[in-house]
Amino acid sequence: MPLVVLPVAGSGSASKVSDSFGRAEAFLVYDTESGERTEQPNQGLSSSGGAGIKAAQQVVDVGANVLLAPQLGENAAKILRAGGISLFKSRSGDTSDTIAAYLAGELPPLTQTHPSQHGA
Amino acid sequence: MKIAVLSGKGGAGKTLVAVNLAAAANARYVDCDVEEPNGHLFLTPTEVAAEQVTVTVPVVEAATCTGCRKCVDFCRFNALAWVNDEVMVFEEACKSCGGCAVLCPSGAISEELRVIGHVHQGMVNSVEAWGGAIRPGVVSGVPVVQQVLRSLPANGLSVIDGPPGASCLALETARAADYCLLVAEPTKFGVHNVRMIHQLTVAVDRRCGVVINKATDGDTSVEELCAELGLPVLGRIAYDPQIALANSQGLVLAWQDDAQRQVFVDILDRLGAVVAQ
Amino acid sequence: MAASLIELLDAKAFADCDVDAPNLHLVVSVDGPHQLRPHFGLPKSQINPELCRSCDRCLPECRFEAITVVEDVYTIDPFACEGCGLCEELCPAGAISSVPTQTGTLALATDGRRVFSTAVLAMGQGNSGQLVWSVKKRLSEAIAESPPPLAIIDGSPGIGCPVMSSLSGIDLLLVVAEPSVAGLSDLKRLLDVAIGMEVPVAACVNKADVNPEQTEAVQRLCDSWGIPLIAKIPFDPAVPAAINAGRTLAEDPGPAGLAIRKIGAEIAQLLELRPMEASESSGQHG
Repeated sequence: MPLVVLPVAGSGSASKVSDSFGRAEAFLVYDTESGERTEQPNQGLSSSGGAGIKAAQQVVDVGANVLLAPQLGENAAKILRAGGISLFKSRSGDTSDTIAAYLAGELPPLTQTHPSQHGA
Repeated sequence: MKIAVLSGKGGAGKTLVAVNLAAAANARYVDCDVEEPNGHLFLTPTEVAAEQVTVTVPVVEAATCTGCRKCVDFCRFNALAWVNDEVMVFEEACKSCGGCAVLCPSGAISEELRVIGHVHQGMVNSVEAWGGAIRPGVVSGVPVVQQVLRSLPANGLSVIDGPPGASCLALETARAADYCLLVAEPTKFGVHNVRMIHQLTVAVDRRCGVVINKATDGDTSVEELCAELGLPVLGRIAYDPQIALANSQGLVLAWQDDAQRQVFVDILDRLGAVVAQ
Repeated sequence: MAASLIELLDAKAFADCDVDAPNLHLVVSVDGPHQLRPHFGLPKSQINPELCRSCDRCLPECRFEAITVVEDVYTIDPFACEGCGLCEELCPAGAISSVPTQTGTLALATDGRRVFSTAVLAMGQGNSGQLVWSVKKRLSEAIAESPPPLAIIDGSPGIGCPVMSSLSGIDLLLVVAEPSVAGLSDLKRLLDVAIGMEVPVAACVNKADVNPEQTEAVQRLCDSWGIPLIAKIPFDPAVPAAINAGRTLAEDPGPAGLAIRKIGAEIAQLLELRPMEASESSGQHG
């Protein structure tokens, strides 16, 4: 049962893809088989440092197979890759649009990472 | 005696004042602005002795680790992650508290040293130039500044070029000094910055005085603030395109001619008188 | 610079990310109530003297030398404490707990037309990267309903985490370089960071005529990185005079004002300003 995870800003139906991974407000977990969407608060949000590391740990622990994000720090990417999670570059804006684009095979793989921001 | 030269912002003339005071007094110049060290552009020692700055980071022995995740859950700096049946260590996030090694129930965590930068020193004319530098990719300069400040000899006069701002590094620099010299430009920004840094020196219980840089006739805003806060004005460096040019070329003003040297000697004299009080 | 561009480009949203020494509020103001909000960093440990049994389990393990004991009374210095929580884990009496520490104060002002987000770091606190991030987040939340075409951010100096936070998610970085050996060396470091983060960059030189040789060096550096050097601002006594009067240089007739208007025009062109979300950061440097 492949699980797709997206960092989101805002919650519920108003949520949008978050620009930041480590500082996203929550993670949207989408089950591609059942079509079920659940949300969980990002534990990295309250961290004063290493937020991306904490957030990536959470995504690994959820059992995600795929992560859709606009950008990633190198530390987070390292954890996610070690966890065997496929990374794709999301679109900004509506979460459903990005999920639909992923399902249609339109999203490019996320290969570039930025230096980890250490505290940001 | 140790004097910390501070300013709220970059560009106020902190390095100019610190370099030239040290040069005028044949004293020790100490660059603690490790993130943007510029003192070496003015004072370039030929023979440099360097000492490594290290911090401790955890090493996890995979064979002994039972995967209990106690270390990962404990680390508030998020320097550890558990993925693919293995602890991953993110050295950059680690604050070297040693807690993971202490708490590991199976003794799988030991610590090793990681080099994050160095402290260097060398002679230029009669100035002993000290500084610290962080390795590329290392984000926090805190341990480097701490080691520079710890290594400083107690004898002689040390002029410390402090980090900008009023952050923890500026606070540590002020705390390590006997007296603080605040450099301000006579603008609204400059006045605001002096007020801020003054609070910091009060917090660490250090006395301070002010040097006005790029002083122009008729603007007394910094003097008025000093009167209000009861701070002595120890010197005025006039705005002069020649000074600006020489400084931008990396020249040490105090070594150019006697008149320029005298400006800084006068500041030192007034500072000496104030400290002796 | 940031203040002048806010006026010139009529930015409806702006932020001061130099939380160590914020001063944008001295030259641009937004009439309207300031919503203040404390910013908390990592909690720090505190010992409850009622519960402490003075067993000395915590003190030797603290790497930050934050724990002191005077006549069997154990206390933690909040400035020295890094908040690692080890003492708390080790304490057999449950006497140590974490207390939130305020590391800064955020302020958001809006007058219905313009939004201004700023913050100041509490004295002697670190962690300013996180505070910078919060300043930007508050700004983007305030404008989420109807995003203006342009947001201007007065960036943090240096190259550390506050700068990286300033740079994240922006569309254009305007670097203000000083024509001096020090300014050139600062510029190289900043460009390394910005290029690493794939941020588009434009540059200008401030007080360009103070050292034409170094201005030339800045030009060469920009050329080698393929970065447009859009203006050379001459030294102009009108600049400190304007700052002191709490004015920007947007309408100043002098040479600096002229150069700044040129920068405004170039930026508008680079960003192809149209009614969509775009932002720009001014990295004040040197």
